[in-house]
Amino acid sequence: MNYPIKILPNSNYKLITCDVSNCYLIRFTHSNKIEDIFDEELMQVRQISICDPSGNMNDLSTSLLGVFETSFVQIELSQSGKEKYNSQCDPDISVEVPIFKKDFTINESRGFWVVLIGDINEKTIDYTKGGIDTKFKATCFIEHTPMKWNYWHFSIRWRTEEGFWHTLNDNQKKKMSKRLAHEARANIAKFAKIEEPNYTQLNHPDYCKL
Amino acid sequence: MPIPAAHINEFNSNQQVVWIAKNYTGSGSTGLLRDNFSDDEIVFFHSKQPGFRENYPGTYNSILISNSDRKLIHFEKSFKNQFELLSAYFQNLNFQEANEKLSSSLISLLNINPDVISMELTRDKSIFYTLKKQDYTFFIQHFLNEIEDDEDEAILTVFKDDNKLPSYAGSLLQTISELNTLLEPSNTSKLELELNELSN
Repeated sequence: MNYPIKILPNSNYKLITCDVSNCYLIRFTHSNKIEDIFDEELMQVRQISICDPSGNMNDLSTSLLGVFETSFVQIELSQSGKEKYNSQCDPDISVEVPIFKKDFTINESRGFWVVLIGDINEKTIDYTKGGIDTKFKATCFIEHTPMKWNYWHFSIRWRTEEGFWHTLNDNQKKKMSKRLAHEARANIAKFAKIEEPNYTQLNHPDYCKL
Repeated sequence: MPIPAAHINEFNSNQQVVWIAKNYTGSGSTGLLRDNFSDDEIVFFHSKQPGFRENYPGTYNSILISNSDRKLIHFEKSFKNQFELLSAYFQNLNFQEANEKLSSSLISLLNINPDVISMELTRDKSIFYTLKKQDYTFFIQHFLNEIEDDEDEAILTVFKDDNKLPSYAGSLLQTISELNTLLEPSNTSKLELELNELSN
């Protein structure tokens, strides 16, 4: 199985900063059985499929659907593949093509959910705690965070009044992690879908250097 | 019309008796024997008059079964299965204690009579409920090992249609009270509408 070279960083690529609200993010699920990942009565993605436990909700890994196709969620990095490729990078670095079985395998039991960026990006949450007027605010931000294995990697992050959630120290995180993780889960559950949507690819000038 | 069973010698623990408030015409039957985990129903005769209610020993909770009761039983069973599946993550959590906590939140939420409700146990030692009622979607997380004001801690996120409303964090009791506050105005206006219709 050849690695899809088109998703690797490329010397001609740049950071994506254009409006992507009409684009979809995609994330793998551990199962591709509908009953495992989707509650058909609620018509919502199950919590266990969003991210469980909540540890990674502060910087949730997704990919921009387009050049990155739905079948690519089945790419699973091996341990050595993770060490070599699972780190953030500049969009235009040169990367060796990952080798099947050595750096990655195909996990056919994986499924996916997708979410329209415009449904969650820059949405602010506002909390009241225990009837006391202790307000707490945070805003969801979608950021292009290219990885060595995937130029189309995007992160769902949260900015609080004390800084981005994933950059806070343990003490700061402790105060707000539960609330933010809950909020992040609820937002995804509310808007995520498991069908492949009609999606468009970004125009070349949006991600290629001139 | 259902055909009444001639004799029911014994009930098993998965069955409950439901007394029917009125007779099936001509049959004289006054009760239904329902299976807790399926839609099976057996109509039976009883010498007592219709409308008589009695709790049978050996039934699941010895309560008159309703739709909410069915959901409660369903979720308790599901909770047990999920707890077993995730037990590796719950080393400091006792099932009996967790089950009692489930009942405390679940019964309150079922009392709201949601259109749809789901319950998921998470690895974060919490129960994650999703409820839909009217135009609202409620996400409630009940933490099984966190205490707020001597009570279990909970968080509520609410959407009206696709619009996000302010969220709430506090004790379980406060959180469910907050949820009820959101639903009350619409309940009140519905009641007023019904009263107006009746007076016309």
